[in-house]
Amino acid sequence: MESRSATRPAAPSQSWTVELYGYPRLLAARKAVTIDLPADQPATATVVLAGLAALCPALVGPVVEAGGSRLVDGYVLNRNGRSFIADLTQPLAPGDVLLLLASQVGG
Amino acid sequence: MFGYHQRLLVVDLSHGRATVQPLTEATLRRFLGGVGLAAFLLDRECPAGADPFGPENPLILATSPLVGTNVTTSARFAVATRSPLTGLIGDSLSSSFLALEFKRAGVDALVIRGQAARPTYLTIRDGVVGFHDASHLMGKSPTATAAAIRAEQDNRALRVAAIGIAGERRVRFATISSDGRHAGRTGSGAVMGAKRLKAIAVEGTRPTPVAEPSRLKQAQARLIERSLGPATAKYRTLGTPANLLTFSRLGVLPTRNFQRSTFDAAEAVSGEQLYDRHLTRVVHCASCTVGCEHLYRTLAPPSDGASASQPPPPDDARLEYETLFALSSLLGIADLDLVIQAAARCDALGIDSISAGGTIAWAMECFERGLLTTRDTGGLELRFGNGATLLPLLDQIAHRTSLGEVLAEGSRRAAELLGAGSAAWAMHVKGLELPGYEPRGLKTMALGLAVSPRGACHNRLPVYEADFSPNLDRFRAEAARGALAAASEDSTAVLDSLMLCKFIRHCFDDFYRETADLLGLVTGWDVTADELRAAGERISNLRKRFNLRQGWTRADDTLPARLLDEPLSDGVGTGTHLTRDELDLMIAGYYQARGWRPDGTIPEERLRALGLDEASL
Repeated sequence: MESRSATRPAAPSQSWTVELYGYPRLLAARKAVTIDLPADQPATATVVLAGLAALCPALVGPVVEAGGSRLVDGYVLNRNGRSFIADLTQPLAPGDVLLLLASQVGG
Repeated sequence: MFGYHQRLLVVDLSHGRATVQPLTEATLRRFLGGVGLAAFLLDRECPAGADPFGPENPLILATSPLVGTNVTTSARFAVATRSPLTGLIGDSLSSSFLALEFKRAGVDALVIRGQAARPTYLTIRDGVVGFHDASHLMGKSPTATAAAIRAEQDNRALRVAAIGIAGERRVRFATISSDGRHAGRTGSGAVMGAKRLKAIAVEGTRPTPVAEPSRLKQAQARLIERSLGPATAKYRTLGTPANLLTFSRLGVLPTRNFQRSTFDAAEAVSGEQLYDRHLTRVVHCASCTVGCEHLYRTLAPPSDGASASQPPPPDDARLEYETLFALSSLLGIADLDLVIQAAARCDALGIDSISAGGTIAWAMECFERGLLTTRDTGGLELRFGNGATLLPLLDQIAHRTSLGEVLAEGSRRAAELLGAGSAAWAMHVKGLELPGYEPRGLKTMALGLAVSPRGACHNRLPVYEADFSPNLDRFRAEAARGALAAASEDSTAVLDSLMLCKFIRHCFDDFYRETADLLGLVTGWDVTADELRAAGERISNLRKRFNLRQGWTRADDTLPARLLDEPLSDGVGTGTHLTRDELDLMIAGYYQARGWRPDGTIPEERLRALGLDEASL
């Protein structure tokens, strides 16, 4: 289960890494995905999620909603291991790493 | 009356007698069942200062009005006693067929008093109690004990709660086991052992009377549908072991006795690895539609020459996150086969894996600091990561041999016995070892662990949920966390008193209203959300009131020195402190939210308002 990336566009691009944990990792059969976006495109979690859905169609339905820009209830995105993202439309900072994981914790 | 039998079974082991006492509707409505009813009975039955191992300390089992209905996850029972580990309230829950059989036996709760003169097991058939010699069962695992009792009673329908060798030897974190599940924390198994009670075998024929069966069936169906949806997806797929890798990445995985918050080998012992390589099947508790329990198998044969006296591990072993962290990252052990074997060994011996791991972690640090040597450990090189020590040490603890005699006391007492400053890395609150949440990176949870009446507990005050949400900064401490903690504790008290599993807590859109509806459909009461909310607050305060009678002081609401003196040394929270001022700020906020005095005591008027003053009880 290695990290994979989308085909790089010809134009200058920026890369975003999404680390997968738990069920999303099992479904996608990889630990992390690198999403390349055109440098002039505003980067938000929504946009990155759409890229993730395109690269990992197995996530669409169980984890990412059809359409690819929202998470199904039960999953959440964390930024850099520190803060959980409430608003997926907020811009990401260069170098941000997103973690996709279950929102239920505990045991 | 619907939902309840209104019968309390009282067993006096000292005199071999059993009686049935009435439970009033008013009492049941105020304390519901489960943890609430058990706390009420414990408060009534246990004298202040009672020796946890003495005959005056009662052992209490309680069900709820929902037990015996088909409400998903409701086949559970609560155990309560004065904990030999903490000296305070010790309550624990277990899910099993025993709960259903217990309710069918026609009683809502059981109080066991006294101490038998010789090893004993009880049979309870439709409320009629039999006393039986258990001498021949001593030393057997809970599973073997249950099988032996069923055979000699010639009754395969009996459901059995039993202790293992650890309970017999009064290991202070011994469990009570039934159907492979455990009433795990705070050492109720040791109290059962002190009473020379090896097992309780139950069967019954009385259904739970339900006020509105057809409407309840509809409500059950709605809850079942939600229990199979996204709110429980994690539990149904990887189960709770999924926490381990995530927690390491978030810098909140207790590792090497809380010296680190990430584990280099987290991938190797992750829930994902368990799922990929070791999972054999997923099973359901009785009356549960979620199915969170994952069974795993080792890939290598047992390699434990030092434990030849123990039966081999079962084909499949249960492993939850808490056991996984306590027997792997907390000890620096990266061998999943070994962890699976150790989990099975804990089950067979009847010990709480969290406290076992926590106490062994303390001993490993003592060894690495030179306070313990191989002369103390029976030759074991007790270093972090040395998996060869784990199974022998679990056996030593359960049998109270070699260093196990000290470790069987739990980390707090062990540190007191060893001295030399080792209390500084004894990771407990009120004597109960910490669960798998690093408080410095989860500051709301830090508050919950500090103030929980039963000690460092993630179940009665599961306020980590706030830290893992987008709603607040988990690295920040503030007084307002107190109100969050109180609200979490109260709703959990309702859940644990109705005996619904925490894993369906997010299956409710309006928790109090919907659980009030369920309770009303079973009992016929006109229950409101506010009434249940008040019941939760009452039960939370009652548990604290019991502790106050047993000598709780403000100094008990704290965290281990390491967490307050040392910043996080690794992971995303590197450098993060949890200062005493921060913790005190949050504790003050919690006391204020509760309406308590600044010293954490409960004003008399508050007790009166909650119906917990002497006149009301």
